[in-house]
Amino acid sequence: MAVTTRLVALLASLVAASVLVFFVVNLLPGDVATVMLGTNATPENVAILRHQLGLDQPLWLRYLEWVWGMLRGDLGVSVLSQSEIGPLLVQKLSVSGPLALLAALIALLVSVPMGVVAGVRYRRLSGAIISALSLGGIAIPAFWAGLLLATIFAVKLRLFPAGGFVDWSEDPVAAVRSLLLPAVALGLVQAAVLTRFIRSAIIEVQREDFIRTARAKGLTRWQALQRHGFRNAAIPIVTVLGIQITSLLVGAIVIENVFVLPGLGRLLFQSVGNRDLIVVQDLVMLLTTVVLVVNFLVDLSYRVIDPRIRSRR
Amino acid sequence: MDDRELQRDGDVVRQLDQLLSGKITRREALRRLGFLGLSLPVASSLIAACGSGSSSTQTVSTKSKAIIGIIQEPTSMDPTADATASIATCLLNNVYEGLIRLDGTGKIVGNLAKSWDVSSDGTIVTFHLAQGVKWHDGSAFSAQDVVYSWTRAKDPNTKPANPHANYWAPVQAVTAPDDHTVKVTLSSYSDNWLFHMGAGSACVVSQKSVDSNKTNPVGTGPFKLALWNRGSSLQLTRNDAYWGSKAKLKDVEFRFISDANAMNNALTAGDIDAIGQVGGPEQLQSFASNQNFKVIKGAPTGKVMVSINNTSGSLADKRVRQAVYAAIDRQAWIDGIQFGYAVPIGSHSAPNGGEPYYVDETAVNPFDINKAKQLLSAAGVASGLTLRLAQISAFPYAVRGSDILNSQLKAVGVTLNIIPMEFARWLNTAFLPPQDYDLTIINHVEERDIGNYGNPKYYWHYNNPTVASQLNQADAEPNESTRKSLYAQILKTLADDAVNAWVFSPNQLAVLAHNFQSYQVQGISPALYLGDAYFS
Repeated sequence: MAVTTRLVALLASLVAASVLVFFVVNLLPGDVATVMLGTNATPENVAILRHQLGLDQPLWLRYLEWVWGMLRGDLGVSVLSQSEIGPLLVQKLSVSGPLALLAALIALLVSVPMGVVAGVRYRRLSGAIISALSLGGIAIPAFWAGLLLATIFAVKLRLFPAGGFVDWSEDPVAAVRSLLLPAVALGLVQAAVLTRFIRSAIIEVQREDFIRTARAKGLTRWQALQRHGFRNAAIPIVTVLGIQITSLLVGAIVIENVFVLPGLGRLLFQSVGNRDLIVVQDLVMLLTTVVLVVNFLVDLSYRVIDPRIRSRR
Repeated sequence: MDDRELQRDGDVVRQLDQLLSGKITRREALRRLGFLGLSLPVASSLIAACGSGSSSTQTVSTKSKAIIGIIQEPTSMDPTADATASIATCLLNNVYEGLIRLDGTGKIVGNLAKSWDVSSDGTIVTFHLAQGVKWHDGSAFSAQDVVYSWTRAKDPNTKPANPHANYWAPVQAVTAPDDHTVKVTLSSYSDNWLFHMGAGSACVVSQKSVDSNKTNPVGTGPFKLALWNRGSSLQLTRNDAYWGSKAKLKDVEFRFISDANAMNNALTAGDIDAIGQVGGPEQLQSFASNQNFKVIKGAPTGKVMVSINNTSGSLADKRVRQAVYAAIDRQAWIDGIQFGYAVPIGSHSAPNGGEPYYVDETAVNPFDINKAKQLLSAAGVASGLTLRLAQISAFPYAVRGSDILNSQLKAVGVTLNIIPMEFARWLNTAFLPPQDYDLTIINHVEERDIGNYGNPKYYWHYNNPTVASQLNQADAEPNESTRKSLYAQILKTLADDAVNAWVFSPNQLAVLAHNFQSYQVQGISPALYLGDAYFS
């Protein structure tokens, strides 16, 4: 029952998002007709081109056409390059998807042990050092980390390419190699944020009554944490992780430009610049859907992690 | 020097030539030079001066793929549908060809047309086309394709319209008397028309493939499309069925790198062989001193200027425009933006072969703070004048230019209100009604675009019927010296009226791997032509 409510909420959010995305994107000043005509644009030839491209149709009609197309699985055609947007997005996802997943993996592998150690030993030197490091990590923007990594590992040591992407079909090993530096740049910064959240969640949970009771029953601190602590600390961490995946996708926009990766971020950046709005709409809608679905899954995961949430509803 | 000595010198040169071309080894060259009576130290120093290793050669290297970094990705693969400059950069003369093309100096040379005749009154131009030309899809090229392409380009109802449809305004008819001849009838002689036929939008397309050219370009050029990996690269491969002399490179890749640091890293790390477009000349410093690279300085191209809305507020007063111009110290712009790689200009033309009517007009509006202040007080705006500047925030030169302009105008008591915007929004602000802006900074890169001063609706709103008729007269004038003197008058009037404040013409720059040869710096020609390029 509760799951159905969540599902309905998800669908309602998607509809609301589509309205918002469409109308906000179409409020952007500037349009594709002037971009195509460049400095030769005159009001007359812009008007002709706008008519040819169907940009003079009422906004609501274009919205309905767009949504109707999406429902039929037709994402439309780029105004500028006349290429099908659906396959284009799939191609870009094959870069951005693995990049975000790799970054998330790196973030988890680094932050979980660091955060737990920092939380358990928060009064000791080792905890303080991790805490300080993670604070430093939060302060570093991902693009700067990316530039630094590229300078060291690509330009000086020549271990990795400085940018560009070799397609999976061409050479999978080279593809991973070209994603590694950007994923580390993204992942480390995310790891810093996660470490801090895990640390405070662990500190918090150690103060709970049930941990004290468990210790009173004779468990060691570590045993108490293992049996009762981690699961309770997981809820805030999973929430933050859900938000972080969103910011990974956004961070990828910047990092893809630094490493010249042909992903969703670069496509979004270019399409906004060229006012190829149908591409922008589809892309933002895709990102919104990912975010909403991730949040939906996070909500569902609460129920797995904490049985009390399940029984409450 | 007697004959025998001359003869011996000739022999020495021949041996060194052979060494250089890799026909003989260094040891063999030493032996032969010994026969010619040269002592060992002299012979080996001669060989060392030739800079050739023992068995290395100066001929075409086995490296047959060139990777060129450029800033902007083409928005489509069809230069006849979209004015975006990078489409022609990558594809013109490489994939698509026109009847003529512009060489590195801006001179018109034949391409698909081997030659052409102009009738005595200048109104009929007859092109004689190359024979045996094939489209990339295998079908035969003929004069009918030219008729189709140019009729289509002129037609305002073509979907989408050609961005340069106005280039064909003087054209009355395009016909094909036979398969290898194209006859163009002009309403009157036009000096600019033939020049403009070297633009990307004037390339010849095939009716069969025109609808899919946006993603799958079919041309007649020395390269054909291999793969367009959107957001990353454009790969071309040699057209082995090319009608002319075949390209030396087997593969060419344009890699799109918008970030200047990433571009530098890519060249230093060896990921690319050339920076085809230099975003900021400060990039060059790290390469100028490195012997693995060479910095190429091309002709000054384009007009970087402070465009003025001639109908906006007090700017309608000529004295205010002249005051703005007098406040500008061109050298500060050239040093601050171009690190010296530029030539100051004083009217709407750049000193290169593409605009043969160029005259230096920098003396008309020299940098003079006192004159600027006098002009402002004469116009009654000695204090409190605020001007808005529409700034294209994505163009580094425009951003730096606005900072420089800000401080230079402050020195004469004018406040500058900088409004940053993206390119697309800028286009709408300046080109579409209500065209509400005062100043903007832009590089007008298109050659021979002076005709815009005859159009009072163009975004700077200059309305001078005398100039408009002189422009028509000059373009229709077949006599070169009469034409030049007409253009000189126009350039002088534009400078006197301070229609805009023209600041400098930047040199086209490129950074190449040291062994990358016969590379044509892009600029006067819209194309980055690679048909002759190779690695040594």
